[in-house]
Parts: sequence; structure tokens; C-alpha cells
Amino acid sequence: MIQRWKKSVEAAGLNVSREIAFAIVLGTMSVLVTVLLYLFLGPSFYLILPVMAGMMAVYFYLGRFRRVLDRKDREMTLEFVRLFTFFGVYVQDGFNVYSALKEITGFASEEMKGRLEKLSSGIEEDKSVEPFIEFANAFKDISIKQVMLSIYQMVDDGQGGVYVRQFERLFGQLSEQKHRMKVEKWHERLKTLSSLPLMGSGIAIIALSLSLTSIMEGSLYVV
Amino acid sequence: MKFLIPFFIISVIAGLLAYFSSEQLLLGLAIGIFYFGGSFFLLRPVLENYFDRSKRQHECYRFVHAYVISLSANASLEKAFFASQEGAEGKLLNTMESASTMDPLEKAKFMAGYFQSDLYDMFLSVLDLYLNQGGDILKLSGNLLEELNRVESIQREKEKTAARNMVQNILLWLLSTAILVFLRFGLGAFFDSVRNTPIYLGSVGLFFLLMAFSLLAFAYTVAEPKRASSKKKEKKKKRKKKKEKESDQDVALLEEADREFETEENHDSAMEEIG
Repeated sequence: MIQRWKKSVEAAGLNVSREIAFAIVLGTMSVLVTVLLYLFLGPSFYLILPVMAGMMAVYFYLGRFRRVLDRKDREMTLEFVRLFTFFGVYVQDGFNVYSALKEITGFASEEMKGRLEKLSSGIEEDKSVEPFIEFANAFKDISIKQVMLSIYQMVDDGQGGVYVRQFERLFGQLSEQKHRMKVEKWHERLKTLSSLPLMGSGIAIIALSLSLTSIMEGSLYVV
Repeated sequence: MKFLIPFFIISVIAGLLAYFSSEQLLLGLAIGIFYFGGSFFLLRPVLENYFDRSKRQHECYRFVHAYVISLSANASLEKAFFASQEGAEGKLLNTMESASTMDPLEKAKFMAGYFQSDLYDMFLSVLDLYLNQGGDILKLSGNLLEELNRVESIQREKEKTAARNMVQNILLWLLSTAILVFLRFGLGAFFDSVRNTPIYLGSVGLFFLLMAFSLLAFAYTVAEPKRASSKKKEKKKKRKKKKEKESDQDVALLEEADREFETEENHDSAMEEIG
């Protein structure tokens, strides 16, 4: 299980030793806070709070590789949509598949540039569908594979043919879906932030309750 | 520096509210200073960058549309550039005026540095294609204009949603703060026994910290600033491109020198033959 976790962390581009070191720092900080609270309050129910907070922080931090991988995949998919929108413009303007791929390489990030160059050189050497499938395998979304297959079919089709229209339809659907998802995700993040003022009210009420309880406890002893 | 006064006002209000909730001058001062420092060093760069980017995006949309429409009507790059200058103001106008001595195509390419947009770079490719192959600029840039329209309408929708959410957030925080301030005035004499307890003071501090975090998180969510790591990668990419360009220029200079030398040799040998 630890080996699997290490491989997943490395696949996300993170450093295993750094992750473990930071988790240890988080754990140590929670222990220190617990000790300080003990010195300040003595044996108390509140000591459990920094321990729980520390455990949750460590668990959350060590699991972040999943979020990093998901984010990377989302960013790559959005980059694919952006680049192949330009690809569609070039194809519409009379470029063939190979030339259009060469042109869009200029707009790509380093990682995507490498993949596009590999695809272009694969097209030169191998006239089969393999280079396109290999390119599509880097993405989780199966619609991208369908789009790449339609691009392969466009190779001999020329401008304005049936396969070009197929590409436009498939890519149009994918692009629409991804852009809608991006906007919806953004809306969700804003909605999540709207819950913070309610947390603030909760803190105010809890603070008052705890303060009143501690005062009443004190006055009971006096009585 | 245009956000300085609003940040100062927000910091003063936060400090005053913290003071009214706790009757602790030090806590009020600390909260006020914290808000001012946080908004000046963390919030200001994000907001300035966002408003600048957003403005340039809108300007790019208007510029490209005006340019393409004018070019399709007049088939003149100079007139198209002049047409897209209408309504321009501020930095955009200054940039366009600084390109006034360049030739028409160079003017359009010069604007790439101002807009810093992939869509504008794409537009330049389409313009190159139009100049090399001819054809109908409206047809050539059809898909590009569609994409520009889509990006522009999404941006406008996001701005409206962000403004609406900001108002909602501010109202919710005002209500939460009103609860806190009401406790101070509502409890009356009982508040005197509560206000000095560490739990109450800590909770007031935590409340205002949460409010600061909420404002910052909201700004970052709306502005969507580029991550530091991706900025570093972009800088590396630009440096690499610059080096490649310089080495290409060096190679071109060497080749030109070789050609000149060859020409001179041929000329000398021709002179010898004649002699």
C-alpha cells in the first residue's frame, strides 16, 4: 500500500520525501499545541481538538496527490480543447492535418508541445492510427480518443469533406461540455465560499456559549 | 495604488467592529493593521492583475472585431488599424499611438505584446494567411471570431456572477458581524464577565481571521491568478525562445557573411579572368 502511495505521489510530480517531511512537521506542530494547551489549561477536554486537527491535516495533506492528478488532467484536457479549437480554425482555412498540428504547437505548453511533436513525427513515419491513439491515451476522457480518430480519418479527406464535418461535430460537443464544466466548477467554488459567513456566525454563538458555561461553572464553585 | 483608500476604509471598519465586539483596543488595532497589511500585500496585486487582464481581454475582442470588419470592407491594413483605434483609451491608446511609425502589418503584430492572448496570436496567423493567400477575411476568421465571442460572453457572465456573489457575501458577513456586535450590547452587564475570557477574545480574533480569509479566497476564486509554478515555466519557455531566436539570428548573420564572401570571391575571380 505504501509502495502504491509512493508511485501515485511520483506520478503527480510530487517529491515523496518532501511530502513525508511536511506531514511530520504538521504532526509535530499539533503535538506542540497540545502540550502548550496542557501547560496552560491542565487536563482538559480541549486537548483533543489540536490532536484531531493535526490528524485531519496530515490525512488531508498526504491525500493531496489525488487532487494534484485530477487538476493536472483537467488542465491538460482544457489545453487540448484550446489547442484544437485553433486546429479547427487552421483546417477550416485550408491547412492539412499535419500542417495544422505544426501550427498549433506554437501555442502549446512544454508538455503538450512534446506530445504534439511526437504525434507529428509519428504521422510522418507511421501512416496508421497508432500515433493518434497514443496521443489520446494521455487523456482520461474517452471523447478525446473519438476526436483524435476523426482527425486521423481527416488526413486523406481534405478540406470540407465528411470527416472534417465529423471532427467539427465531435470536437464541438467536447468543447461545449468542457467549457460548461469549467464554468460550473467555478460557480460551485463561489457557492462554497458563501458558507464561510455562516461559519463565522457559528463561531460567535459557540464562543458565547463556551464563555457563559465557563463563567457559570466558576460561579457554581463559588456557591 | 487605486485600491489604497478602499483597503484603508475596510481596515478601519474591521478594526472598529473588532473593538466594539470585544472592548479591547489592542485587539481592534491588531485586526485593523492585519487587514490593511493583508489587503495591501496579498489582495492588491491579485485585484490589479485581474482588472488589467479583464480589460485587455475586452479590448482585444473589440479590436479584432473592428479590424476584421474594416479589413473586409476596405482591404487596407492601415484603415483597419485606424478603425480599431476608435474608442480606445488609456494604455491601449498609448500602445497604438506608439506603433504609429511602423508599417501596417508590424502595427498589428506589435499589439500582441499588449494583449498577450493566444486568440490574438491566432488572429495574427489568420492575418498572415490572408496576406499570403488572399480570400475573404471574414470567412478565414469565422471560427476565430466565434471563439472570441464565446470567450467574451463567458467573461461577461462571470463578471456579473462575481459582482452578485460579492454583494451576497458582504451582506452575509455584515449580518454575522451584527450578531457579534449585538451580543455585546444585548447581554449588557453579563458581557462584562465574558469579554475578558480568553475563549471569547480568541473567538472574536478567529471570527475576523475567518472573514479576512473569506475575502481573500473570494478574490482568488474570481481573479483566477496564474500559479507561481506555471509562471516560472512560462518564463523558462520565453527565455528558451529568446535564446533560440538569438542563435537563429547568429546563424542567419553567419550565412549572410558566407554569401557575401562567396560573392566577393566570384567577383574577384571574374575580374581576374577579364584582366
